[in-house]
Parts: sequence; C-alpha cells; structure tokens
Amino acid sequence: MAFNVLIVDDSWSMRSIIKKTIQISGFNVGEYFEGGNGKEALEILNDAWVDVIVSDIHMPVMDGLDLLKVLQDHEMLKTIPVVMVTTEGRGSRVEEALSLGAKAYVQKPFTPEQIKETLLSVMGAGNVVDDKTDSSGCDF
Amino acid sequence: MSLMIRQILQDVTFNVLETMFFSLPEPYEGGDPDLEWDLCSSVKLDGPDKLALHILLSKALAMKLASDFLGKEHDEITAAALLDMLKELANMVGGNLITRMDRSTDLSLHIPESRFVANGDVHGLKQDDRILIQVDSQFIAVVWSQEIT
Repeated sequence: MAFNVLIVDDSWSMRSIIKKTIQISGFNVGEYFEGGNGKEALEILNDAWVDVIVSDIHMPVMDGLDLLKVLQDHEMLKTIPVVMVTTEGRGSRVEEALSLGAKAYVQKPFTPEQIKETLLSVMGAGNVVDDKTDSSGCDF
Repeated sequence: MSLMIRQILQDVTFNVLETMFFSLPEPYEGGDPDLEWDLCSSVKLDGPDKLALHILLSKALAMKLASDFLGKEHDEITAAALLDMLKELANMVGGNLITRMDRSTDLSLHIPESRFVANGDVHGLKQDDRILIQVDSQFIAVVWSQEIT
C-alpha cells in the first residue's frame, strides 16, 4: 500500500534532494507534501493524510523540536512516525528529539542509502516496491 | 582554539562537499592568491564562544555545486536556487562543526543567510582565520571570526 510523505525543511533544495532520494529508493509513495517549517507542516497535517514525516530541526517560525512537541500533544498526529534529518548530530540534540517522539535521526550530509535504511526501519520493508523505482530527474 | 577550529572546519567542509555535492575538494597550501568572490553564505554559532562562519566562492563554482547538488543543468538553476543551496551548505558546515566541538563547548546554530556580494563587501568581513579549498581548480574560502564573551 502506498504511503504519503511530508518533508519539512526551510531549504527548498534540501526538500528536493530528500524527495529524490526517497523516489530512487523505490518506496511505494502515494503523495509528497512539503512544508518550510513546523507551522506549515501542521497546516498540511490539518488537511491531508500523512503516513511519515521527514523533518529538519533548525527552521524559522517553528523548528523541528517544537513541531514534535505539538505532535505529541495530539491524539491522532502523535502516531505518525517522524524521522529527523538535520545538520546537528550532538548526542544531546539526538536524545532530545528521540525523547520528544522522533523515531529516527539522520545527520546531514547523508547518503541516499542512509535515508533508505532509516525509512525502511521506520516504515518496514513491505513499503518498498523495487519495480516501481522512479529515477527520473535524478543523477545519483 | 583556532587550530582546532581550522582542522575541524576543513574536515567537515570536505565531508559535506564530497557527500552532498559529489565534489573532490583539495586543500590549498600555496601562497595567498588574489581571489574575487561573487557569493557569500553565512551562519552564526552562539554560545560561550560566539563564532561567525562565512563561505565565499565564485558564481561559476556555485553554479557547478548547485548543478551537482540538485541534478539540474546550469540553465535550470535560478538565482534563488543558488542562494538556497548555499544556505544549506553553510548550515551543514556549521551544524557539523558544532557536532564535532560538542565535548568542549555548547554552541547553538542560527538560521544561515546567503547573498551575492561585490568583492569590496567581502573585504569588510571580520576574519580571524580562513581556509582555502580547491574544487575543480576553483576556490572556496571558509572564513571565521570568534568573539570570546
């Protein structure tokens, strides 16, 4: 069954890279949604069904840790797995994100394999469909 | 402190350029070349030691990096995409610097900024030190200044 992905990052180019990485990894994705910060992510979550969130931490308006806090306070939204993809890999930041409900953590810079393995561990291998891999527009 | 920052900055910048931009950076050990810069990306790190990081490069090299990063041809890359890519470059270098310095200091990362610059603007940047890196025979400068509080 296809799953919907919400990518939250204030960098348009990083959202594009993460989306391409998921596409070439062969996941069976239905729809991609994109938000530039936590507030935009919550607006999307208000209107759309999302199965997994991939979020940065450092963002203006509402950062990734504040987004996690809001999600944890919401009965439905707290069940959505969140993968943090961020530049900081300090133990204290990782622990803070995990204690706020994040399921996994990937540090930038990342390889496509790291994103794939992390999403596999969070979503399960049943969501990968190799024969539908879309590598259009992707150079790596 | 400056020697430690210099080594860490070189390591993390190389790692970012190799992993996300598919580039082959080389350290530059020559004299002080007369370089002109077109773009600057900056990020501040706050904490007991305040640091300001600036990444300087030419438009030609920025276009190459953006093309490799985004998987697009040069004529598909807008000025906005170029600036966004450079913000992310500074963000990754700054974030990884903090990660590597974690044992010795507690720094927080600000939101990065990037802009087109005239060479004269760059001369006004406060510089404690800098490293020069070559990519495809072109230069990237990573400049930093430190403010002890």
